Amino acid sequence: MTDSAPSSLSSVERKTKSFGASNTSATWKINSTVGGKLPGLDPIFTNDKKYFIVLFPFELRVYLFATKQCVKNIPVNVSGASDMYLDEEDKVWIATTSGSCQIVNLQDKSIISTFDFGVPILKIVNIQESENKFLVISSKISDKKDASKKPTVSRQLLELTDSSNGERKDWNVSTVFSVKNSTLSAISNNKLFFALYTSHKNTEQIQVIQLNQDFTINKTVIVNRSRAVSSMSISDAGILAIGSVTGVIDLYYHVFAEPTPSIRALKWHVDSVLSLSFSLDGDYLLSGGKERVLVFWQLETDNMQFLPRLGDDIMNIVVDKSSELYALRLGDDEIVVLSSIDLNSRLQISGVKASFSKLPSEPEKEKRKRKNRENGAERVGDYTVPFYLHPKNNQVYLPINNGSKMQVYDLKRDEQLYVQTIAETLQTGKVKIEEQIQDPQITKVGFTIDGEWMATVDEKVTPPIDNLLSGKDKEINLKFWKHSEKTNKWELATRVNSPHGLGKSIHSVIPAPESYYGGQAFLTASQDGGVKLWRPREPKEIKDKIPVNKAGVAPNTKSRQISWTVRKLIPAGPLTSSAVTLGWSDDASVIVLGFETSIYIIDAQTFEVTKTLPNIMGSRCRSLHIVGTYIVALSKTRVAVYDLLNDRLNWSIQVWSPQGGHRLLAFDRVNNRFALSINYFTTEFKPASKIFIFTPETPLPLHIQYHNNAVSALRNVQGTSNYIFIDINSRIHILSFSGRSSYKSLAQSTLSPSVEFTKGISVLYSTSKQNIVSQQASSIVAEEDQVEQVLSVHTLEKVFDGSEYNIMNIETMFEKVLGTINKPLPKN
Amino acid sequence: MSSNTPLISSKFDKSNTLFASAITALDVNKVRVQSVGSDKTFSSELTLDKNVSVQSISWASTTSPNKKNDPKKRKTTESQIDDNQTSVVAIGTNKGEILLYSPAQAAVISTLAGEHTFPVTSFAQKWSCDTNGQIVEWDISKKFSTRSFTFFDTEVRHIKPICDDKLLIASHTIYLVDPADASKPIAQFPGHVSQVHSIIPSNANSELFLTAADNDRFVNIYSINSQKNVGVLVAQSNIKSMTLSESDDSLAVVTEDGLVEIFINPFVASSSLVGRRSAAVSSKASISQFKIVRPVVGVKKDTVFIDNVAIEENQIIVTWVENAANSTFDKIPWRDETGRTIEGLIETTKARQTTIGAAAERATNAIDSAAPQGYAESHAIVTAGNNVAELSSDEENEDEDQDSTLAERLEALGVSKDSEESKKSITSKPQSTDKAPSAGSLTVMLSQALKTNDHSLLEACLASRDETVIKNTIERLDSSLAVKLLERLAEKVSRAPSRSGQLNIWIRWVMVTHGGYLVSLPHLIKTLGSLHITLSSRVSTLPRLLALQGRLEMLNAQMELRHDILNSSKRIGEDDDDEDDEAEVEYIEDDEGVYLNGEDSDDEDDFEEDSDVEDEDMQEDGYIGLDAEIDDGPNGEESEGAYSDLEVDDSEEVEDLSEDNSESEDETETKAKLLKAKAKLNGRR
Repeated sequence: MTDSAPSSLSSVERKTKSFGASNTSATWKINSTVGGKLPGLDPIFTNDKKYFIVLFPFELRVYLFATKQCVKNIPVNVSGASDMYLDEEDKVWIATTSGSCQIVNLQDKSIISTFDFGVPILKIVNIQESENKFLVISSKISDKKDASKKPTVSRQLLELTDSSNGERKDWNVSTVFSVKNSTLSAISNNKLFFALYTSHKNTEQIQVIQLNQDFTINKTVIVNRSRAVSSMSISDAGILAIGSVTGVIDLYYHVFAEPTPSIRALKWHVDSVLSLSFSLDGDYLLSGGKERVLVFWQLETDNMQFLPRLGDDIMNIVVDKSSELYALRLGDDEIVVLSSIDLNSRLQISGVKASFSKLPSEPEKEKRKRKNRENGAERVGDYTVPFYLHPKNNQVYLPINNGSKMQVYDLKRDEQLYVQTIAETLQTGKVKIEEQIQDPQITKVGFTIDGEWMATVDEKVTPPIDNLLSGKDKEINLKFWKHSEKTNKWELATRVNSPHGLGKSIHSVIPAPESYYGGQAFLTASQDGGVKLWRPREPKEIKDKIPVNKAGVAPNTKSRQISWTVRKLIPAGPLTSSAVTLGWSDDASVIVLGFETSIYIIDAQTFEVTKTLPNIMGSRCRSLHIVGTYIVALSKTRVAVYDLLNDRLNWSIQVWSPQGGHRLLAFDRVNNRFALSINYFTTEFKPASKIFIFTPETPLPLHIQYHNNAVSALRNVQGTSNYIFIDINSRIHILSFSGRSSYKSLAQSTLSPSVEFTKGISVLYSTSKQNIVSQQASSIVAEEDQVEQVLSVHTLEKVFDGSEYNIMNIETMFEKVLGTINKPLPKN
Repeated sequence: MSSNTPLISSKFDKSNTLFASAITALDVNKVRVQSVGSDKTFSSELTLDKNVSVQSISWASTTSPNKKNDPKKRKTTESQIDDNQTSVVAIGTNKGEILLYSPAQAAVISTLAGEHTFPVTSFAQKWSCDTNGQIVEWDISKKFSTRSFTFFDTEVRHIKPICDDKLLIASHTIYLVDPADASKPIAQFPGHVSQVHSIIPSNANSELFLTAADNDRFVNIYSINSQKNVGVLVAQSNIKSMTLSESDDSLAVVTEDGLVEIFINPFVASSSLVGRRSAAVSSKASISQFKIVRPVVGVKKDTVFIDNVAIEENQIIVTWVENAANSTFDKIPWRDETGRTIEGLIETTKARQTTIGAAAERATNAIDSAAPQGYAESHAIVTAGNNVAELSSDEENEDEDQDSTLAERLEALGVSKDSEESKKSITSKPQSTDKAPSAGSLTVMLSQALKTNDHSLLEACLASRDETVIKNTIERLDSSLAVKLLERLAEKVSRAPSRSGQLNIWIRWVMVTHGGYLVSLPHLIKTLGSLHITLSSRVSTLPRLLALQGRLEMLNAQMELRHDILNSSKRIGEDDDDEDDEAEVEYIEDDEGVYLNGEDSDDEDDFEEDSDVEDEDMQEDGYIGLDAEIDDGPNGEESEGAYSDLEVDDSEEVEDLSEDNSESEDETETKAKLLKAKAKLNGRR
């Protein structure tokens, strides 16, 4: 099944594209890509300490410390980059694990040349002799014939000399040293001391090598270790510092001294020492780990100094040449530059900190997983990510992993604006058992249409550490934030404790449409199906106290406190479910509530359930939207479009939607379209995705956008036909519309009889408009007289629901639809 | 220029997001560019060389050639970053140089020199002019002059290129010049008697422009076509600078008094006059004035001198200097939400910002720019999800809905008449005790208290604990006051939960007596919202308290059991086995090491040890017991406890204790028990 699927997919895709070209002007294309995770490369300080060079997912950026602004960005090929090296002439060499190397000139922002070393490069140690002689650390995988044994990986120091007269094609390779099974290495700043850690068959060793100035081996020594090593650093004087997983740092003063070097243990860390670095004069040792505390050890006096409460675990420390600035790479994709004098930050650089529920594993593993499964082999995991788009300025809001903070990312500037803390939390690192203490988690975020208000829901679970009576309590807060024009930040206006009763989670938060009090309202639904409508109001007490203002002061009254209160409610039912979702029609008159498999229609005025829809979803609901007069429902197993006015199912197709599937359905209020992203595995078991853009009228997508990675969230840019999506590499893509504005033009063009292909669709259209065909009349579509046969959506639904097609995915379905309604097109 | 400000010159950029200003710092001049707003997101500063002073500041844009040639540049980043990079501040110096300072790169990116030898007084787009009347056109990206000529009027200080490649050059007279033929001006516009410092051409109508001059209250409007003054805008004092809104519909001027004045539609009135060919030029006064004052100290109001103003759709951005050097910004609306202009003098009070305060704030809050935005709840309103007091009530259907809901909830509280009566029979006992008979009813007092909002009187009523009185009072109370009473009660209960036992009786009787009336009320859930919250939040603690009670009971039982076992083992020890005791004694001896006393002291030790154990036991019991008694004793009303959630446990404990006590021969007094234990032990000896 999975083997045949992709081929049929591609054929469908081809057809659709031609269809799109001939009949519609509505096409979408990805026109910009931003964000992404920072490649974990060490940033570079320029020699004059004015600039700071960081490699971004698409480019090299140069920041100026004085203004904290990015002053240069140079697009480079980042894939596989392993090291950056800044030479004396302001050229940056970017080496990759595949061996290729790019030389970037910072002055005129251009790539001078690209060449290949021929060996995988882990680090460029030195460049000499007018750029013809390179000293690099490379990795080598032993080419053992014995397949049963794992190949051993060695780290080598290679001296590469260009033998092709400056063309950098052929290399004379001479190995200075090679260490087997090495996973970690440290180099002193003067490039004379090397430490390589090997861990093999329960022996933990560190090989320390001292080179002479001409890069020949002077001395080597092996230090045996009893504990696993988590980080290493070696100073210019040859002092070796080793951080262990237990938190002890061992200092080896004279490594080469016989018989045993003098060891000193530095104890402060409780958990693994993740990063170690000597200051360049060797006076200080800096260490950091999960405690989120930067520790300064003054080696001579035994004094310690701490810089606590950093943003995340300290993964790496880079010291500038004068030891005045420290660059810390923090766990969640962030680089902070600190001044060693006042320990204030000088610069902060951050990537996209999306927290994925799950990421696909290696293709091999996925393949194995799916081998034995007959049904649902095409299913992919829940690779979605909480991703919210501000409706006005299109800033991206991303709740940060394991925290109560939210990153605000600007797509235009392609940088993090700030991080907003949503719930009270201590900004300290957690080690060992403390990790069980969870910070409040942001579960839902919503914005009003005008972008002035933000509603957030956070949940805090009592840690299971002590066997307390309150052990399973959930503390839930609904917070309403006002955007402050003055500070350009969010200010908390109202916090609502247990908004739906004690321990009741909120599963849906949606803003009101524009037509309802200018959109100044939110609707929430809880796990037990209770719905509450919230609107802002100034508290009575304050209102009474302040005398009526003169006309001139009126606008200032806005700054006063505003409280959000419940205005309407639907009481909760006895059942609880995690599948609760809400939708609100554009004219604000109808609310739909999805609870498990049922859909309830609620009158927004009276707040009464007026109707219960038939089971059109067939499984637990994921997301509901009212698009025009249609309800678009995404459930675990299908997408269904229900015509509210004619009270019948318009069409439905079978898709398999993961837990976070609601994030993959975006809906365009203005043009009444919606987009659905489907992730799937290619034949190589690599995740890929297709984004389908539909109108509620037909199951024929307007557009299919292929993306070579799994999509994690898809959102519409409010007021436009554009969509923004984020993939599992944290890259944010803008899918923009290029064509005529309304789908109506498309509908007209498809109705024109001259176009051969649309004949089938026109039949479909006319029938759906006249609404005359009963389900029985078209129960079976005969192969022969199919064009004459009057089609209805119900017919199509029958086709889709046929049990033998159960395991088909959306592409095959689509093809089937085409085949059914359009005879001239050859099948398969 | 006025001496009220340390700024030599200042300018907002086109988008009103950056503000460039030149200040004198000791003996050197500095140019500072900062972001507009209270958050100092961007700031860069250029210190000029000694003896170089700033003559003029203006914003210009330059395009760097590298940028354009880079085809790989992505669109989105380009627009943003290019904007930043290409907008530069052109600084005209007294040395005749023009420095182009890029705020983003914090560096002078190029210097335009070689043409002017006198101080450069004006730079606009690509034209500059110096004090000797020399006018130069520059190619900014290539850094050389393309045209240069000396104007015949060497007094000209201000230059403004307008459309059609013409120039407006101004001394006290304004000349319209075609740079191609600079020898003779196309037109002259007399009108000012002093040096013109600003010329603003109209955005919509290219033939009109505004001028303002030093020491002059008038803004002149000139028409190029008719070559004459077509209107005058009159400010209240001399104009320092002016800004025209993008849509031409408003003009903001800063005066020497430090005020901002706004003229609406500066061109409109005048153009209509032109149509009528009126002989006299029309004059117009400002429609609104903005003033920033310090909080009043004593009698004097200090006015803050506004340095510059930028005008936006509905608000103006004003800037002034705090602490002699720091430019501070504020946005003041000049139109209300409906688009109507706010007229008259508008005063905004701004407290002086002290450096100490600012520094202290920075120190205490320690907001590092890299740190995440903290969570601040101090200004937020905290409420609970079950607060339904503001439930909207404009729909009728809803009310029915809510009625039933509340009825259900109230039912859940277990308030029904039947149970009331059964309770009454229980509580009838205290009634019959020989307590002083009360006056029967407090209705008059209560109604008075409720009607007049007299809290102390209400308190006096509620102090009554006699249930008959309460019942009588409420029975006679007017139903319309019942809701008010319930609200007051809810308020009191939520403020002092410990009083709930007493107040619950009141609530119960209101419900019983006036329940029928209450149910008939519209919007009941809204009216009784506060009562509902109070009660439901109290009810919500019940499961947890029950769980706690269970645990405590078990503990208690365990203690008892231990106690019993101990007692029985002691009794056995008394009967036949003395060795145990001795062993114990010896153990203590060993422990103490040098303990060589007689048996007496051993006994004491032994006793102490034992009594310790017993002490704990008794304290546990005694504590609960005493507590319960205090609660219960004086009132002698069990029913009270029974109706409050919190005291349910206590009453249970009382029962436990009474069982406990009945078992032991002695009284409940702790001391007595202690004595008994001592006696027991002594007896054993």
